Amino acid sequence: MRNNSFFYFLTLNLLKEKRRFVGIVLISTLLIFLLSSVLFISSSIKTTLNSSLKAQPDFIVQNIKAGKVAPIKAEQVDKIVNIYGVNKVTKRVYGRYFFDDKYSALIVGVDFLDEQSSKKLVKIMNSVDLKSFLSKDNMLVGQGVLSYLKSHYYATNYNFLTPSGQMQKVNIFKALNAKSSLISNDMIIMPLELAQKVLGLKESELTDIALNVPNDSEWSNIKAKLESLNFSTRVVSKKDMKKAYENLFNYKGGLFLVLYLIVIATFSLLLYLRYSLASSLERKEIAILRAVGWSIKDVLELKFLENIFLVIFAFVLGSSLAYIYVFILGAPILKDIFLGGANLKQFATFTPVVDYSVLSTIFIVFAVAFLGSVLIPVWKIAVTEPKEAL
Amino acid sequence: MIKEFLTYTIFLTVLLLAVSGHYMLNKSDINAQTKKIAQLTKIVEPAFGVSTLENRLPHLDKSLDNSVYPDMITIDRVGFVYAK
Repeated sequence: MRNNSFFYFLTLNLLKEKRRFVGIVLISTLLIFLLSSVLFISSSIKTTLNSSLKAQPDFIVQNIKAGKVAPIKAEQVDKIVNIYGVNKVTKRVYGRYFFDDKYSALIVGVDFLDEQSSKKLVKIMNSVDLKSFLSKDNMLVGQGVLSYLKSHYYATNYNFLTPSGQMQKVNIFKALNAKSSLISNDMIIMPLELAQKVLGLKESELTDIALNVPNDSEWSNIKAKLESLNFSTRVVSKKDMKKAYENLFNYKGGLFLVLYLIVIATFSLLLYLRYSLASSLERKEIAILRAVGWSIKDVLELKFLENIFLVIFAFVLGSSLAYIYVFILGAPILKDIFLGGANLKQFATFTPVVDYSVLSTIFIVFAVAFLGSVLIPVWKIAVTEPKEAL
Repeated sequence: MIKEFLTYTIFLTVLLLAVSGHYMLNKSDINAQTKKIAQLTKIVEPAFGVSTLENRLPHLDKSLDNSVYPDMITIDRVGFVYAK
């Protein structure tokens, strides 16, 4: 049956009464567009964070007081350095600074006197003059912070109010690259001592201590040693961080997937009802085909191909539009669901990541539901006597 | 196949090719830039505009302080509601 005239009849049938399919194609395209957009955003953020997680230290040592993270004594660094198998022990000073009740920035103190850190700074800020950066109280700000400060007329510097009630004037040296906004949008990078002042920490106090353990098999052993340093010590491993981020995005992506399944079930039910209560015209069409000698298989084949074309059309159109929406237009509105719009204005852009396994799953789930809800009623009509159907 | 069907097929193919072309050729350095910041700061916390990952700071709880009458408890405080 599958010859040129069959395909001619099939395409003619599809386009002859376009109005019949326009609604179905539009709704299908919209469903696929929405789900693909959500999954594109989710997988893009996950990929970027996973790549930056490689730079995350293997362990973070924190001091816990009353269940909350409290400043840790800098002298702990010497104790940690002495543990065999540990390297790259870094002092970390960071914390949130609230401009007002709503908007806040993450202040990060970096020890620029450390050779590694200064090299990395030069790498980040092309042609940065490290001497002039360190000569005054300067800071590097993320795009979100820069935009907030500019809108509040702090174009060149900002006066931080320290917890002791003093004002600390810090110059805006340069803005961080907008491409790194996924983690640097609300970030302020400044020298370690200055960050301690702004955050109200003493010179001997740090937020936490980061360290690496190059030998994986030593991880559990070192973790036990770190925990035994103090009763109030909490050790967070890179694995825990990775799990937390994965859970966060799987949760958000999963939520949309559940909603999608509900919508697809409703859509299938509507399609099923539409075809089971097929208009007399459609009934007539199938009955005439049967009367002129088409077998049930031929009728089903025609309807199957007719609908698979619709599914493919909707899928390609929906997922392509989703790609354009997310990776070219920057996913307005949907971006805020993932990144949140409660704090500073978001400047993050998404790196193009297409997860083929997810896309094929969407296609299969959508196509099976779609074809099932169309072919079952068609088969019911096709098996009745043409005379009866007419 | 009729001409109109062919037109739709060509449109879809062109759209698909354009998107694939963008995906293959657009080697964005977003990951590299983000990684550089993470290497410098050793912090990978995403800059989400949500408050779930932030500490709940007591000074932000407005029910706890009233700058005009510091001793006056706001009416949504449990202690006030259940006071005899």
